[in-house]
Amino acid sequence: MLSYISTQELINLKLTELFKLHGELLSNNDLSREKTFKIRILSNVVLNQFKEYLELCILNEGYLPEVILGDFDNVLNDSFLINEGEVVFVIIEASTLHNSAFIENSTNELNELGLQDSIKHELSSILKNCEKAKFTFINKLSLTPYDSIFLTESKIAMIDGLNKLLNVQCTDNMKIVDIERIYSRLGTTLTFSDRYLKTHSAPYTFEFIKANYYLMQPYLLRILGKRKKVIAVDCDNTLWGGVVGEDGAEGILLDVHFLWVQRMLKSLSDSGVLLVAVSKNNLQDVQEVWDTRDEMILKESDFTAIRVNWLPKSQNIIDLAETLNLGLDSFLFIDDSDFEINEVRTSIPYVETFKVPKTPWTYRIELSRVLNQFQIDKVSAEDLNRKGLYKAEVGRKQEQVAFDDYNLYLASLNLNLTVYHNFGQHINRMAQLTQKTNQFNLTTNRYLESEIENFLSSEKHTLFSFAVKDRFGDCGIVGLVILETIDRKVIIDSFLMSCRVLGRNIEYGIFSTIVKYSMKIGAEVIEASYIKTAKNSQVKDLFENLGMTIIEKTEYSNHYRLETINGGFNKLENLEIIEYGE
Amino acid sequence: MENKVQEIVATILGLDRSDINIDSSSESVDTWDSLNHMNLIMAIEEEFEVTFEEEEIIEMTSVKALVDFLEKNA
Repeated sequence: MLSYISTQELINLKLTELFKLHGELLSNNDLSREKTFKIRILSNVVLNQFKEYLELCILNEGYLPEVILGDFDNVLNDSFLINEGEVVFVIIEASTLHNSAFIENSTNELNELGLQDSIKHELSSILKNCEKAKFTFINKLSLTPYDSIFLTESKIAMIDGLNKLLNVQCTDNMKIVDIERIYSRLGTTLTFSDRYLKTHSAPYTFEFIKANYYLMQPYLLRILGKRKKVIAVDCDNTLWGGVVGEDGAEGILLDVHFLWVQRMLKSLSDSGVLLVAVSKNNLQDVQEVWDTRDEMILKESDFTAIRVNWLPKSQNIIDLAETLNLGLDSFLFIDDSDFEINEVRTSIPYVETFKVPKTPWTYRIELSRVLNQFQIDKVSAEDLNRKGLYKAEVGRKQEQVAFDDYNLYLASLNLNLTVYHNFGQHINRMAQLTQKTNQFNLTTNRYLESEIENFLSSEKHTLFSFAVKDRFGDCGIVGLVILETIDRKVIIDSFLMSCRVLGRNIEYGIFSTIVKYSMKIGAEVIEASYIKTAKNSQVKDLFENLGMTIIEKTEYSNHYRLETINGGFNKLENLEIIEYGE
Repeated sequence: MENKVQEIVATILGLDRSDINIDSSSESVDTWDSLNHMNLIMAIEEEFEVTFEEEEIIEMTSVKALVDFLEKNA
C-alpha cells in the first residue's frame, strides 16, 4: 500500500516527483474513491502544474479529482459554465490583465480607458457566477512582482479598490487567498518567472504553486472532510532537547526553538485540536519534567492522553484511534527519529508524519507550514470542549495492543549488528556508555576508562561492544556487554544499550553473542542479574524473555541462570550479525 | 546523464522508460506538447541545476538536444 504523502513531503516535492507520484496514485487501485471531487480552475495564466499538484493532493486524500481547466485567459466567459457541486479556483494575475494594462499604462491612461471600472464589473460578474459553486477560492490581486517603477501609489490604490470589492462580495462559501503572503515569505525571484511568462504565459513557479496550495489547504481539507484532529507528539528531542531518561528532567533543553514549538502546539490545543504524547520513556521521568520545569509551555493538562511506554508507537496510535473513536487518517505524528517515523508509516500508512529537522533553528518554520492545515477562522464551542470529551473517553477504555505487524516492520529494516570483541579503540565509548546509560542497563555498573582498560588486559574479563546499522543509517556503538569468567561459569557483569536503538530486538542478537562465546570457551552455565534502579524498569523481565531461569528474587534484584546453552533464538531472523575483533 | 534525462522525459510525459530513447523528440512523441515541454524544461532545470535561455527553452525539443546542452553546461 502507498503511504500517505505527508504535508512535509508535499512542500518539498520536486517537479519530477510530482509527475511520478501523480502517475502512481492514479494507477493505484487500493485507493478508496467512492467519491469523485469536481474542480474547475479558471485563470488568465497557464496553470497546468497547479492542476497536476492539486490532483495529487486530492488523490492523496483518497478522492478521485475530476478537473476542468478553463480556457486560457477566458475567466469571465468560463465562469458562466460553473456547475453546482464544483469547487472553483479562480487565479487572476493582475499584471497580465487586459494585455498587461496595469503595467504598461500610467494611472491617468488607465482612468481614461475606464479600465478600473471594466475590471470591477468583470470581477463582480465572476464572483456572482461563483455563488453557484460549492466553494470558491479566489486570490487577492497583487502587483508585487513589479515593484517600485511600475507600482506607483496611485496604482496600489487602484488595486486596493479592486481587492475591497472582492471582500465585499465574498460569501461564506468563498475564501480570498492572500498571495502577498507567498511573495513576502519566499520572495518574488523564487516565485515569479518573467522567463516562463514570456515563453509559456506561465509566470508562477512550482514554489509559488505549492505555497499557494498551502494557503488553501485547511479549507480544502474541510470540504473533503479530511481535516486532521489529533497531533501525536514525541517528547525527547521533539518537545525538548535531549533525552529525559538520560539527561534527567533538570538536564533537558528548553531553548527558544523548542519553546516556540510548544507555543504553537499549545495554541492549537487551545483551539480544540487534540494533543497526545507518544513517547518511549519511563512515565515518571516525563512526569518529573512537568513537576520541575516551569518553563514548559505545554502542561500535562494540555494533553488529551499520554502514552509513555515502550510499545511500538504505531500500536499506541492505533490504540488511541480506537479509544478516541477517530480514524487513523485524523492523526499527525511528530517525531525526531527516522526509525519511529518509518515504523509508523509502515504499520499505519494513513497517518501523516512530520520529522523534526536536524537543524533546531528551522524546526519552528518547517513545523508551522505543516501545522497551517489546522488553522481555522472560526472556533466553535464544540471545538473548545472537544478536549474534555475525549479525555473522558480515554479514561474508559483499556489498552489493546497487537504485535503482528511490528515484526514485519523490523524485517523491513535490514538491521545489522556488528560485534566487536575486546576492541581497544572503543575504550572511551564503552566507559561513556556505562556512565550515561540508565534505561536499558541491567546492572548499572559505572566504569571509568582506566577500569575498562583493566578489563581489557584481564584474563577473566571479556568485552563486547556493538554497533547497529539499518537502512536509514548508522547508529554507531550503542551496546556493551562485560563478561566475567570464573572456572566454567560466565557471569554477565554489564548488559546495556543506548536508548537510540531500543525496541528493535537487538538484545536478542547481543544475548546470542554471549551464548555463542560461552559455548566456544566451554562454559557450563551463564549467570546474570537485574539490579533495580529508578530508571531501568523496562528491562526487569529481559533475562526471563531471553530464556533464563530465575533463581533468586529480592526486592532490589533478580538473579538468573542459563544451564542448557544451545543458542537458539527465534527473534534473530531479522538481524544480520557480523563479528569483528579478536 | 543520458539515462537520467530519458528517465525524466518519460516521467514528465507519462510514458514508460522504454518508450523513450536518444532520438525521441516532440515530433515523434504525442504527449510532448507545449505544456509538457514546459514541465519538462522546468524539471530538467531543477534536477541538473541549470538555467535555459528563453530561446533554448523553445529549442530543446528532443532528448538529443537536452543531452548535448547538459553535457556542455551541467
